Amino acid sequence: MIAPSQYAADERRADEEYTLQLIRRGTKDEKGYWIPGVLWWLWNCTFTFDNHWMAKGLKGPHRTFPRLPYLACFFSRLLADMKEKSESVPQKTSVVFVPKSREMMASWSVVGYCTWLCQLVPSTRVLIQAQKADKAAELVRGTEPPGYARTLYEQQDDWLKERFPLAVPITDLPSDKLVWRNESAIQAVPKGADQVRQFHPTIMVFDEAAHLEQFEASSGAAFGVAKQLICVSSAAPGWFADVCSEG
Amino acid sequence: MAKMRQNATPYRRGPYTSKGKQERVKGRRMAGQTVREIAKAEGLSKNTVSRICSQEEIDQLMSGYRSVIVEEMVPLALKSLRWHLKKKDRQATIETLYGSKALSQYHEIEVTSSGERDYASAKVDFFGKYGRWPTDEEAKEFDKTIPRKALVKQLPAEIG
Repeated sequence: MIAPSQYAADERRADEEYTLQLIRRGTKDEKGYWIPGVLWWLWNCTFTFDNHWMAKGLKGPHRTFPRLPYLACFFSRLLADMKEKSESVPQKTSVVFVPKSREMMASWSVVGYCTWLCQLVPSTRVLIQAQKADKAAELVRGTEPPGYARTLYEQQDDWLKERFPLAVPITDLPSDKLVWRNESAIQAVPKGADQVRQFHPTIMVFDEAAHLEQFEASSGAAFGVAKQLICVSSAAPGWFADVCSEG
Repeated sequence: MAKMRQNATPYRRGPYTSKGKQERVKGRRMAGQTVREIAKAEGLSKNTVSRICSQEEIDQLMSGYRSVIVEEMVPLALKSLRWHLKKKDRQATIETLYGSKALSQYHEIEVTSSGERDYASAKVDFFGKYGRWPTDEEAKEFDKTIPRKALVKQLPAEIG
């Protein structure tokens, strides 16, 4: 005999498995275009944090990830590029430069991509470098307000947090680190090529790369070691601008 | 006094307190009274109360109570329940069904589950459609035809 509670538990489990499939593989939208799994997860399974919610007259700081038209293309590029490079030449590094302006959600998107990957793929190591240590930490765990990766993790439903548990309670983690039980981790480091040389990241992220001292040296240190380099920045003259101009 | 305590030999013998008084002391202790309160109420020293209340003695007492419950009271309770069920007592009927898990309160249903699926929902839906219970393989195949819903987050209405 199957009790009603057993039926409900199995039905719930089936819905969770279906949802996980969507998170991993994505789905088609109503026009038949592919929504990558990371974007589906960002839109449907977690929230972001808006520091300026009061000034904007919102009722709370948490918001759904915006439905911006370029995000599907952006994530598809990140995923396809990494897959192509890692398959063709195992040691080759995929490099993505992302010139951006404010309110484009570029940093949120990149941190979302890294968080999603860390949860799904064990032993994924992400290194995020910014000019200052506290700015880099803002993208990871942070303090108050909570960091980007921490917000995306904590705003998931409990069942997802149980599926992708952290290695230790989040309050026990330092502000520059987020570590999962599957040995994936996101680590924040300040400027300097030496900071990068200490690690062997799977993904290397440079935030505001055009304004980052020793950006060229840092990216050189990560190139050939990391599977993917993602360089996000607002406009400023320098090597970042040169590379973007070369197109 | 301090010198006497220094020279006193360690406790090696059982208390001289009567069995009845010992039982009362243990009962008071289990009811949550402090050693000081028990000593004052029973006219004993605090040391005597502490000795009586040693864990080993309480464990033995509890084990004695448990065997009385199991050997004497449970059969009586079952007899009484049987009588009430025959009388169609509503409370006894519902409590028996809850106790046997044939009925569950809504809040008792686990909303998060873990571990492997047992395809219980697919088996029941199969039965509903075909009028017989499926094999495990049939249940797994039938499960693929059942539309599932994605578990998506919604912002609370007041946040919007």
